[in-house]
Amino acid sequence: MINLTTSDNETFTVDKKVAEKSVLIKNMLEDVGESDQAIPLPNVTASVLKKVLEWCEHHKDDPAPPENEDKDDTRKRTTDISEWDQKFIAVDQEMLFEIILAANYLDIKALLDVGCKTVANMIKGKTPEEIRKLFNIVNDFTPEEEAQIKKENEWAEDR
Amino acid sequence: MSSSPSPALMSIPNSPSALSIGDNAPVVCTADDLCREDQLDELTRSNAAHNARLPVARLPDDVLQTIFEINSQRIPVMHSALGTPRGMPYQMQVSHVCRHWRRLALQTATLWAKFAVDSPNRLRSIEHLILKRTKGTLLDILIWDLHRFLVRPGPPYHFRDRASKLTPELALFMEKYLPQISALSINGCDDSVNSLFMGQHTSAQALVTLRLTWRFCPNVPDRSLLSENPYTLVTPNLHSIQLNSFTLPKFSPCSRMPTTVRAIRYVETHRFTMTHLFQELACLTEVKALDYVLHCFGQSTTPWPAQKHQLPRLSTCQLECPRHPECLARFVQLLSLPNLRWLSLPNFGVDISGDSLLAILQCVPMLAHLSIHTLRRTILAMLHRLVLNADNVQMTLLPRLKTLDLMIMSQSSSANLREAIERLARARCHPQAGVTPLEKLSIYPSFKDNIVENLESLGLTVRTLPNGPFTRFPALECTL
Repeated sequence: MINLTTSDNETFTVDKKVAEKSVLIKNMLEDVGESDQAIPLPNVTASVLKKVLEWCEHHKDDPAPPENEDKDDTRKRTTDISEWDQKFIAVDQEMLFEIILAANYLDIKALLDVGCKTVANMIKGKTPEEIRKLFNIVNDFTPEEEAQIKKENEWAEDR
Repeated sequence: MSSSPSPALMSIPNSPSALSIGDNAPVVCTADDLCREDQLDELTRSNAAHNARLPVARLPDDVLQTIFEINSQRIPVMHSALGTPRGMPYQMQVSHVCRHWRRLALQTATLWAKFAVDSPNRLRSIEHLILKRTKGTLLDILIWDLHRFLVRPGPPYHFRDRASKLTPELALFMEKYLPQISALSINGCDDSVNSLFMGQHTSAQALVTLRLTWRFCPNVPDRSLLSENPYTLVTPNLHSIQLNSFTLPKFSPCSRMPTTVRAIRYVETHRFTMTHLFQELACLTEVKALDYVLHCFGQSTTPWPAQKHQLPRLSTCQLECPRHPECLARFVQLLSLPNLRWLSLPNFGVDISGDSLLAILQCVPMLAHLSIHTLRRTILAMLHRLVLNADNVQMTLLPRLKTLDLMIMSQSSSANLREAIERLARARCHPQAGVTPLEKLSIYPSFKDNIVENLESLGLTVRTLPNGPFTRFPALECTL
């Protein structure tokens, strides 16, 4: 078993196989060897780590992604998300972004994919105004930039 | 219009002005065109500061760029009617959200590298986008209909005139960008594709995926002609090829032969004979994943080859021959597939006795995963033979089988089927000499919970297949 300590000083004891879904933790374990000392995770809070570990536990027996799989392969994949992952990631926006940040920091590629696909699916088919509304973004373009965008759209039209 | 490139254009193929970009060039901004931070007024600064404090702003730039890329669409040069905000490609939508997203989107070269080309007039805009935004990244080009790029020999025109010369704009575009194209999809006829590639002296060095889809050309009088390819492609990095009624192109000796192939062939009535097909397969010695759809019409009138053809590296295969399982069986019997591990047989057709299916399965002794979509009776015949040999004493069919997907053409399962699967689980789920234990069954229609529990107690993991189109194998799906 492995001990993990979060930024808010909570310690989680987890199965090594589950913890090693994180490439960061796996590499740390390989570097320091077997130890009773807890691994500090200063960028992850307890509430987020709890969710991340829930995902790792469910996917602990998944085959590892091929070593030579690069970013291009990721892009080629569809935006399909498994039913379990969809339920898992059905959280509020703030938690969704925290999970993505944690997956990025802990280097859990498959979880990062799930998070990115979820955000991509939220954006898909929406106009810029609808996307702004979704994330509470305000339009911060200058009048000159607005004019550029308007002109830029013309190339997309029939000539 | 002239049928050949003008000397002036031909002399400067690598210049940005080759396609006359200049006076009326479309406006394509880059991240450098955004106002500098020190030029922003108070309101813009305040709005930008609000955006920077949002939860979404916590996502690192590279993660946000990945999110943008996931849904990136082929960029069409749209007709006015589609030029509405909702009709715009996804990447344009995200680049219009806020200054931060716009800067990131414009800096993400891969977002702007996927094009659909539908007429010579659009090439200028596309080239302008390539020059301003793609930063040399690999391109994905789809030519909707190559016939639109052919020029007629007239005037005067006659509807029977055969047009086989490409417009100089496309010839120049291809000459210039072929080395940068990683995925090329073309819809056209033999003549038009021949015209496109025949004049090319450039190596398609980055080409990884090539898709050729045959499209009827009214200028070609005899559509049954299967012409010899007069061009040779130089493709040192080709990985996959998709041929919808097109013959396999010729490749130069320094080319890499495709390892993933998807082909649709209409046999006898349209262009292909069985001899053609096997000659083609003989060239595909490197293929590892094959998705082959054979459309046979009635009895074969041309001879089948006498000799077997080897596909020694083939490990994943999806075969379809709607309505003619006996043709498919004969086809497979003429192939040597010593390393086939995954086989999918969607739309297997009516094979009441199961003889055609069994003939296929006897040719693939190393098979570990079988997916099949067919009648219940055919499945029952197969399940019987997975337990007992033809002489009813010993089971030898598919000794390496680990997973089985059964999509049954029926709304409900039956007692016969349940019993057959129970017999299979008893016979094949435990270790025995020379036989790999069967591990997993995925099935549609689903079994009741108590039947699933019973099968799982025998060591068989049971899942329900979704009712819908038969899923391709991941190896084929991601590459084609």
